[in-house]
Amino acid sequence: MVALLGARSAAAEPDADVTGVARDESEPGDPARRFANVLLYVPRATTEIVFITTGTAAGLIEEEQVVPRIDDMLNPDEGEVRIFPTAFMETGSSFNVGARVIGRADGVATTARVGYGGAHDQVAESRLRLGFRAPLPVALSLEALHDERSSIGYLGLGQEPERDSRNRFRPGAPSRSASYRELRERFIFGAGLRPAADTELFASSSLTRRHLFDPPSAADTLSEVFEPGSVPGSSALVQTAYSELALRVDTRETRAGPAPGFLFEGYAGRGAGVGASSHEFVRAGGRVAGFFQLLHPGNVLSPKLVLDGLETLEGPIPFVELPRQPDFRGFDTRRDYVSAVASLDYRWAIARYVAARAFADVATVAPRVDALSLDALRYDAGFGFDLYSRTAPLGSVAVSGGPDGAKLILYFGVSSSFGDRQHRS
Amino acid sequence: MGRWLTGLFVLVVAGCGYRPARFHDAPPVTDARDDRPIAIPRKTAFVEAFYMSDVFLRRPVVDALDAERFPYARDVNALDEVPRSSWYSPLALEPGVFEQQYASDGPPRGRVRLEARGGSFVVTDARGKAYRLIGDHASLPEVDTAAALIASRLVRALGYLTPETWWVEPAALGLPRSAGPKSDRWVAVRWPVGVPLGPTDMTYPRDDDPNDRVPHRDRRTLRALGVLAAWLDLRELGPSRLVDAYDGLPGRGHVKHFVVGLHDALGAGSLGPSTPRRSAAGPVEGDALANLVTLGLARPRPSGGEPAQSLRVFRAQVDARHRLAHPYEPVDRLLPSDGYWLAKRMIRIPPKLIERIVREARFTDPGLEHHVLHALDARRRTLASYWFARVTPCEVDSLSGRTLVSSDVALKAGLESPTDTRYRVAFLGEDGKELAPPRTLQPAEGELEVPVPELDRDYVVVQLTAIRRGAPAPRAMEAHLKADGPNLKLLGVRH
Repeated sequence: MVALLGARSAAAEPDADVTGVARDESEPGDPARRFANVLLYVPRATTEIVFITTGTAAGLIEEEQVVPRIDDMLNPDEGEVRIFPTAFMETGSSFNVGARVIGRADGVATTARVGYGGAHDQVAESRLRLGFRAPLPVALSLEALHDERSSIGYLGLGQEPERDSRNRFRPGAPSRSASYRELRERFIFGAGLRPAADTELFASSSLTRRHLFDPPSAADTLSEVFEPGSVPGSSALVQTAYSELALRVDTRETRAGPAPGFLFEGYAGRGAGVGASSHEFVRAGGRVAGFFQLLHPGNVLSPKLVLDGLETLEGPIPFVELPRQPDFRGFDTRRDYVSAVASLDYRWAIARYVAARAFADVATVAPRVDALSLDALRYDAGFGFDLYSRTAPLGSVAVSGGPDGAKLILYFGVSSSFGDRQHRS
Repeated sequence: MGRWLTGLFVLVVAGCGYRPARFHDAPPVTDARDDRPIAIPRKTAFVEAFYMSDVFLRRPVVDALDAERFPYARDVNALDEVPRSSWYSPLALEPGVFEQQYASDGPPRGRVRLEARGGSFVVTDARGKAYRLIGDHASLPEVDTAAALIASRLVRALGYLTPETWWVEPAALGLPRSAGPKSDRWVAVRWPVGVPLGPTDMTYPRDDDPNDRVPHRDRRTLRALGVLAAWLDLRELGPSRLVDAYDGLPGRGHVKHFVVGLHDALGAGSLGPSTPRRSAAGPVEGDALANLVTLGLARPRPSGGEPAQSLRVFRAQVDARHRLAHPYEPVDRLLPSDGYWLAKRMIRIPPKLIERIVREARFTDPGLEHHVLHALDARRRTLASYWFARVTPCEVDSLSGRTLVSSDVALKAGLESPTDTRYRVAFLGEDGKELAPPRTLQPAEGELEVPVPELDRDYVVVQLTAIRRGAPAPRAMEAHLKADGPNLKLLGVRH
């Protein structure tokens, strides 16, 4: 008897398995693999959660460029709304979980997010951006932020706060490092214009209310570390209205991978106290960076200099308004009226969408520009990897180290230090 | 602690043996019946940043932390074939019949209505069927149009669903040439078919399609796309290449899965104007680790010389481990059995059909037509040789009483010589233990007859391992047999 194959056949029953397999095969080592998988479950699940919950979502809307280029606007993604859970952890704060909703339609992008990390660590934010492509690319943005952080460090003014006579430490203070709790509300309205392919002009106004408190459970409060009344703005409500004009010229083809070009950014703005806050200041600064190709496309050496300054028109200026150093990739712990950060980065593409990065930063602060000196410079250096798409950075992992300690920098999506300039102040 | 480690050791050692799969005593499924009516599912959005983060960041890390081996494909039947489904619907390969079956909708008919949508042109014919018009770039004549025409037919000949692609003359559509693509040649791609639903997820089934039950990464149809991409020199799979569409009236239709964008095939995607913006670093040459260590300064320069500005860029040489520009999860999980399945289908396409398909491209240069034909044949033979060597490429032809008759696809295709070939035949129980001493047999006229001895078992696995030039194949072919009175019946096949 000859049994011809294929003579017997059948359509699958609904929901049936088509394989006809009653029991899967087992290969040598399968039990060991299963056992290893149990052990690897936690790191695997953690990676999944971290991925889902990070700033990848933020990258969809919080692009470094404020005003989209024309070709970006010609190809908008079709209407979409996405909801992402979020989670992050920062040194010195509790684990924060929440959600972000992002909506995009032709010319309009909106995002809202909430996060909860404990009774005094919360954030809620909403942003709306409208884009117009003709006759020139224009973007209008409106955002509202409410957040509370339970423990923010403050060392005092100057490059070496412990030796700076402007800081009046209390005798017998438990520490030379204070911390405070901040409740912040901020509204920003911005209008951006791209008059040329590489040039962005941006005008923005913000109103920020900061309530400063002692942290809920810490001994090193501002009032414990510093003489009462010696730190302007401490334990008070600080309200500031601030308006700024910024210009950015960036000739790089993309800000995603290593690309040669030139970057200049300058800004100037005026801030004034609102209500009981009676301060007034002018803020100005800029950054300049060159991106030079070394031997091959994809190898870029980039020196950068960032200067920020604040001039008092009417004082005293609350310490929370003084320039910080977000460009310094070590610990951003210094504040003063003038800040300078210089850095040197070398990025080289190692695969199509992955680049390695080696970097070094030096930073200093001073009460005036002419007081800036090379004495007691703070420095750090590091190494990491960047991941990017054709048009946008997607993530970065880096380790930096210096005399203050080592730091792991990890983000997916666009770093929170990007966005328009006001987000960096 | 000692006891715990001992237990672990026993667990690991206990799992050191091989135990074959066991098949149900049931006819093989030849139709997956995944076309039951459903409501129109939602459209899948594509967010590039999310996609890139997923393929380059999340998945490599998660995969590195997953010790399980990749499972056997879940969309194959007991005979190790892919049943007809909304993913795979093979046509007859006799040239005349193939052409009839390919022309499901045929080219646009009658006068058409033209819509220009963001630089692309869509025509709707007198029957209401939509077609996308494609032309050649001015500097690349006979590239995109020829690639689309040829690749569409070859992909369909392999059994995948892909939009029909047809030559069109503007005058026959009632259109002036200036109304559509700025090109001397136009082709019409039958798209959209039904309601477009966006990219096919590369990992998971749609949660709003009850017909979609197998994880996509474990579908042989998707895993084997890596072999198809190598044959047709497609540099990308993923969201640009695989899309879903709802076919039918609302509530009465179902989702189909299409391979699209085939104007990039045959190397056309590597030619300038049809390529989307590249990364700032350009195509990065060299090994990633070497680039890292040498700070990128010793990176090899892109291969010199201007690339051919025609389909001569489609070379006869192919690396069987074809690398895609972006990782594609099903291809990363491609098993030898999956690669073998597609290679087998590829080698079955008659040369006459390939000739007729290439002639459809209407090259003005006969030398170019010959070049493409030669490259297609050389590439499929290279790929088939590679994948046939990864398994024992035998198929069960019939069972005659207690004799299993099998044929070797590599011998049939002339890729291996019978004089260099032997087979080790083993008889296993369902627990993997040998039931009889193994034998070595030789093929006769491309076939192998294996007498199965009387064994005191109801379920027997005949394991054939090809031995070519003295070296055994990495994987055996298994025929799972069950006693059926004095005879045997075939329950399943594995490669």
